[in-house]
Amino acid sequence: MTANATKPADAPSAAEILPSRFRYALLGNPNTGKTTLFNRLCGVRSKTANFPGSTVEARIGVIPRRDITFEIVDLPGHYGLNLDRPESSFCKQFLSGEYAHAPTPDAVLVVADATNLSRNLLLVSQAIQQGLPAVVALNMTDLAQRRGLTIDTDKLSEVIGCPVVPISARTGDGIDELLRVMRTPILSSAALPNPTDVQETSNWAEQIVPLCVGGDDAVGSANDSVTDRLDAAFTHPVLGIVVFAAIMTGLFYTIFSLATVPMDLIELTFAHVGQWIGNLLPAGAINDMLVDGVLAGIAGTVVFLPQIVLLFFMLSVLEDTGYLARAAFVMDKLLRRFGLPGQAFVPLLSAHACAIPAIMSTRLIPGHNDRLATIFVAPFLSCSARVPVYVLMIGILFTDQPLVAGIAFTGCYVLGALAALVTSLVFRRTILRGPSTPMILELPTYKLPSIRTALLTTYDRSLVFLRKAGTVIVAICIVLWWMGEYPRVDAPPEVATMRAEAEQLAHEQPETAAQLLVQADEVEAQNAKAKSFVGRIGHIAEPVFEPLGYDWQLTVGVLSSLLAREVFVSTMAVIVTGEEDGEDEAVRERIVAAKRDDGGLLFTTATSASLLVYYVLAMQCLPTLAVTRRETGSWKWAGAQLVYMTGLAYVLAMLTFYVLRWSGVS
Amino acid sequence: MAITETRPAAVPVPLSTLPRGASATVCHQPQCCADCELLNAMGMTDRCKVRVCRRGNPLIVQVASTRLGLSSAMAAHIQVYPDVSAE
Repeated sequence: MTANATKPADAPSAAEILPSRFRYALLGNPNTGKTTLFNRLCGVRSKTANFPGSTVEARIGVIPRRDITFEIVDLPGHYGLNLDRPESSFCKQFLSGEYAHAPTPDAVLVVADATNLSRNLLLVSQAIQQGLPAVVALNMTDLAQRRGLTIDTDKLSEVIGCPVVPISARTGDGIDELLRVMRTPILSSAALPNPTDVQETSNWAEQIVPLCVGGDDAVGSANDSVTDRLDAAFTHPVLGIVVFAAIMTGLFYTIFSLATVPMDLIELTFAHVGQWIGNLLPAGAINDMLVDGVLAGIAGTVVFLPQIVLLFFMLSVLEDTGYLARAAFVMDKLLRRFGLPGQAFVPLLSAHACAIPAIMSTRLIPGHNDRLATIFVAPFLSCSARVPVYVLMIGILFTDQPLVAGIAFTGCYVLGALAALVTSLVFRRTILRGPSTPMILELPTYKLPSIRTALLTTYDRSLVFLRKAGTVIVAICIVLWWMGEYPRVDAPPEVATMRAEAEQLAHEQPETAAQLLVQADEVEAQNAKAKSFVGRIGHIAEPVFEPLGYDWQLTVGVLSSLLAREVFVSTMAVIVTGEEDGEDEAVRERIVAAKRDDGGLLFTTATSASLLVYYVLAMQCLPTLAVTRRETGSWKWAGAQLVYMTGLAYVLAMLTFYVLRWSGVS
Repeated sequence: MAITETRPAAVPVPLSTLPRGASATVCHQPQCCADCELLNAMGMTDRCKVRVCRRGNPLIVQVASTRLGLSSAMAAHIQVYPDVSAE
């Protein structure tokens, strides 16, 4: 393989003197290592952005050099610019400058898979004919070498008319050379096939490959017994599903157990910071707002970061190994029985992180009714926002039983998935009739996952979570704190009596006196909460949720989390204890032991199970509804989603409550 | 190891009917199915060689160094010339 990049002789250089900021569009087929290259080039200097007026999410990164800054826009992976696919249309618009919300890139960097050159040349030839100077990064050259392929990059560069740089994004080989060549991208003047004619381009590629590629496996059609064996296991109708179930259970068990230590550390840190700020500032409303409102709101959100980090990290690792595509393959047969195409698997899987990108990614599903059905059911899948509620409820139901808790945690995910599948089945046989589009899916090569890529993806996704959480959730926490604290009311007369009694007993029976003081504080706090704005709203709405076993306090928790589910935990902490950190062990113990106005336990087993079912199924996320409206083009589907999901959650939560109560489980 | 020479059969058959391990050459199939363009762009072009890695629904075929998962309904629309022994 040629070691260095080559530049065709006499080719016009588009940028002999580059501007100080030079924008590259990064383009490539799926599974060519495009994201790995982006991460290698930009590292943490990147962010995820949604392009206005489209549903496309792309990462934008920068590479600061001594005299120039490269800006890289990582466009969605696709197979051709002229395909009738949303990602293809967007990339074509972006390259041609027709996309109004972003400037036209200065050049294009095309990633091609060295082990599959023939197919990759289709996109390469289309990309370099878009009127932009280009550089081709020939990735996975290390893998190609191991397979016995030799690629003459000089010849390839000569044929396509722009520089070709052999690299391995995974190991970093060739990256310095690529950065050097990126200073001089070239507008190709080579004779290239008609970019709109796939067959002509394919024939052209078939002629090029023998000229540039040599070796025993030049046509790349050799049998791969290891891949065959792994595929036989992972895509087996029975064994494949067993492996899938085992991997998913292991994944969630790992999240549940490994996250405990960092979560405890975060709680401890925030507790100390809260104490420090509380002591630093004079007592009063400002102190209360900062400590119990702002800081507790941030703590209540950040504490779930370890679980979210672990989820994204492990999903990224699984995807990188090539297993996730096999999982989609296995799930295709199952999904089709419920009227969904295999392509729905990836949106449904990503809905476990957040329903919003999942709904946006349904644009990759070609069939209209397939897509609508997927959008409708995606929010049933348990997203990361539900995790705090699951943790609290499962913690109450299965204290000190990590294995049972892990199984229950998986059960929540299974219940959400079942609701999604059954709903899809019903809808595809009634209001969304029609055949599903057939499956076409590339199964990438099995490989060892890149930890660097997984870490960078996790970092990026976690920042997105924190940005959302740091704004919406903290704001809700502060508003709720205020509504829970005001209007201020006088303590009931019995509080003064109890305190006076405690004072008298202070010397003779100090323990009894201390207990009386604690009781007096609790009675005062409960009275204040019941008469606050929050308490009044809860009392008004209480009859609606009474059949589910909820009193006014739980009703407030449910209503306050209409905007975002995870607010439930911090709301309960505020209502019950006056503090917002629902994950603090002491606060949680007080939540678990909290009482209703009639003196009964707030969280009985039946109530906790009912709440768990409600939160698995209910539509408690306004941003998701907004995205559904945007993607379906009508409030009709968003409204139907809200009514259907919340209605189903209400009915099943009520059933759970009554069945458990009638079974003698209180 | 003995190398067996192969040549394409004279009569095309649906890809879905090939046994596991069988190799074949894809026929020219303009508009053979709704996703024909995508299949072409993914490497399954006219006269390309394919190998069946797994039968069933969906099935797995290898095209060059790429493995594609296809529904059997789609594979039934793709006509191929199975490779037969040249002897």
